[in-house]
Amino acid sequence: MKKDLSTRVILIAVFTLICGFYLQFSMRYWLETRKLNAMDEETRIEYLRENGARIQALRERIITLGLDLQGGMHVTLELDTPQLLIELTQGSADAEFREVLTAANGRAEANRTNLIDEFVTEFTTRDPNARLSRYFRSDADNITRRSTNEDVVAYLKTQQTSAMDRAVEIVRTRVDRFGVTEPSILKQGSNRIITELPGVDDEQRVRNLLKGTARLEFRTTPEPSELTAALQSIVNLYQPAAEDSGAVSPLLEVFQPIGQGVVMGYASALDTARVRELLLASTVVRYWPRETHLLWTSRAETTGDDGTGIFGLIAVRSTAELTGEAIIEARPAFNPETNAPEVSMTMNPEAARVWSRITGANINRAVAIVLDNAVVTYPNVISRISDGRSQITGLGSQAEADDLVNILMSGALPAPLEIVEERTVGPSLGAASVTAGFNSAVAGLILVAIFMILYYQVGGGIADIALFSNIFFVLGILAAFNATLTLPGIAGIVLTIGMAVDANVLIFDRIREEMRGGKTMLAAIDSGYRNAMSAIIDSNVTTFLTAVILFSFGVGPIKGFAVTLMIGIAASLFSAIVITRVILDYLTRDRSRSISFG
Amino acid sequence: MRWFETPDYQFVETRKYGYMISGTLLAISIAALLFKGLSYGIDFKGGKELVVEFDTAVSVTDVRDILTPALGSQPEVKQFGLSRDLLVRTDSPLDATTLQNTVVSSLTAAFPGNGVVIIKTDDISPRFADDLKWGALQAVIFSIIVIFLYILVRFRNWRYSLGTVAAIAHDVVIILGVFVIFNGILPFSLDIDQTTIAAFLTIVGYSLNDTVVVFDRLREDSQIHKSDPLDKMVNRAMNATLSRTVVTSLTTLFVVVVLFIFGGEVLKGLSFALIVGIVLGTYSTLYVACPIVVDLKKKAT
Repeated sequence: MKKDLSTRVILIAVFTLICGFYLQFSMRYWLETRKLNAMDEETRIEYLRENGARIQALRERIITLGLDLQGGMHVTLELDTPQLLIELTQGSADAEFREVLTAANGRAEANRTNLIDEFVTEFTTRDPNARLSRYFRSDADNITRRSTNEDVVAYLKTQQTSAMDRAVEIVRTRVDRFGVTEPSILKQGSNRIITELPGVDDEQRVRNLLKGTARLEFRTTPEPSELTAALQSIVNLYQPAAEDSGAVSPLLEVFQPIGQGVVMGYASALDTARVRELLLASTVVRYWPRETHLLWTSRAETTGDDGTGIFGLIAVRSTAELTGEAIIEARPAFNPETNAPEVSMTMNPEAARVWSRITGANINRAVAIVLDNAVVTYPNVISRISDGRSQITGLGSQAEADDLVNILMSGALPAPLEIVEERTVGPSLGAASVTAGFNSAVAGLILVAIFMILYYQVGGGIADIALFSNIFFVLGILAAFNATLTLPGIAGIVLTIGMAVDANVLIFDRIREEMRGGKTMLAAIDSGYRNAMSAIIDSNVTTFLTAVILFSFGVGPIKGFAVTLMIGIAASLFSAIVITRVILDYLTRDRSRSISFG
Repeated sequence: MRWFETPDYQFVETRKYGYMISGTLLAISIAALLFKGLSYGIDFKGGKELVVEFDTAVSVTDVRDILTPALGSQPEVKQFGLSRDLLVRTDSPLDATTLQNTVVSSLTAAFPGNGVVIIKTDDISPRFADDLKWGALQAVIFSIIVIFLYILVRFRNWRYSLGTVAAIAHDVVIILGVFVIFNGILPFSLDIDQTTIAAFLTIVGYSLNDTVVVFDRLREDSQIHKSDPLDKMVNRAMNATLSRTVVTSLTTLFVVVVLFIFGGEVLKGLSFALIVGIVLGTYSTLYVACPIVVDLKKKAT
């Protein structure tokens, strides 16, 4: 018995030392931040210059707080796989292709299956003899006109994987250039990317930065007089008959026509889809000059009375003359005359020649620079530009110019990314949650500890020691694994406080029962531990199993809940069984002392 | 202090009252689920939710009336913890950036001199919400299967498995019923979202924990008193573990009540579910899981 006791004491000591070692980083970091917060600006800078590297090193080993506790932005992006397939056809996607794709996409979403598989099934059901190689070619991957459907499918799947990898890389480059401390960018499944950006407070910039395809296009515009005439005819067409005095034009209800140059008019952000629908309806679409495309401006021109943004509708030609691939360099700059921020771009020589021709042919006409299907700027060409330079002007701020350069230089995404989930928590709410979680944990701990002493007296005191060491171990293990603590995670710890004493309750109740049965104290303790064991194991295994399941299916903060619950259960078993037993064995070492279990 | 030192309650004898209470609660819950239906949070429905913080409190109805024209549809506005924090839920077609700008600019215009900040934003696309819902469903089904199998392996008796699973199903259905009936009546959200699913699974684990302790005692006892009839053994096992059942339920209840009071708005739904779940889980061990084992055995012989 004695020998056994010393091995267990060593085990506890080792475990305590390990947890203590990992926890001291968090402790020291916390002390440093307190010290820093108390300093005035000047001393802080001075102090950081001397100790910055040391504090940074500490920071890497502390228990990280989740986004819900420190504030920040969690964004899940989804790669537009249908669009990727269309891109891969290199322009040979016809109406039939798109029809098959839409049908396949609907089924893939409904059945949670792979889009490429659904696409092939749909394709071959429609025409068993049709070959996918009609649309897809690649010299590099040896996909030719004679390639079998299986070869093409394999090729498409590799392309999908590599497109995802590329997208993750590009998102990472953009986030790094944006400058976020400790971002996390992870691939999830076959088409999603999870980005966690702690401390981000400018959500709009991040949204644009993450999902921007960086599809930059230079487009020429149709003849203004033809546009004005077309707009006039369409407005007239929607005008209700004169005798019907009560009626209003459905178009004018949502749209304010201007028809000045290439600006067709203005509409509220709420109505943009409706306006395009009305202006491009099959009954009126023939009025527009050939090859006309209607696009909204990328940012609101003004704000309406009720606070919604008002966007401009710009007419451009439907084909792009040049794309972002032509850009070899982009940098933020200031307009020498107005001092407004802009982005200055340099094109490769081949594109420079095209640009020179376009600008030459469009003097005094507008040329639109389109980014991700929204018109960023539409300046009038003053003279031919032959050095391959161009500027994006009309930017809102220096930050916008920086972000645009970032997007242009990080490379274009293989297909658009869509934000399917966004959760942002402000730092103040996060701080309030930390306080709330901390208070609950402390209050819960005190309540349970007092109850245990009242109910089991000395035994309860021993169980309390186990309870406090349990919390210490949970935090130590979290620190050792560099785990992230979320608000549900704290809830998990609080719940563990309540459930951790269960093992001791089982044991002590059993000891009381054995003593009632007439056993001596020592024998009762011994059989109490032994007989309670199977119930302890069974009940903890079942709770642990549900936590594991929660962990594998849950996302984000819920995972944090499951993690602390699992660690809590494991640690509580150790503290409630091993630690309390060592203390009891020590207290009863001279065999005469009696211990009260209440 | 000692409670239930040598209790001798006739749990098995009085089980028909338990069945009646459970039956009534189940019937009410199922009726509520069928007629009122579950109300999903944005995790499972998709949509956009903002929490706006004012410098000084404003009225919920005012905010709703101001935002309705600006967002193009009537948003759901409710208190979020502090009286100056309001939660705005909308299915407006605006994108997140425009939505945030619109909310801030129209509220600033309507309440001059009262600062407005957005302190929390959630924007979930319906498709993503669908995936989350599917994940949650899988988790629930999968955990019930795993539990059934674990009990089967550990106790080598399908009646125990069935009794446990029945108790769990009983707890989950009634809690769902409580969520449906009290949503909108209590001053915090009882919509079903990821956090509530986490709470449900924890309750499943907890309820099981209780049941397993009794079964474990039953297994041990049945080796000693082989000749006793089952109902007597079950009743003895329940009484022997009663003190433990009550004490553990109490300590756990302490912490979840604390969590409910001090844990902040985000954890209100989770801690509420846990409070109801712990009470139910304790009850269902005594009046659902064990009686079912007795009755299943009776039928067999």
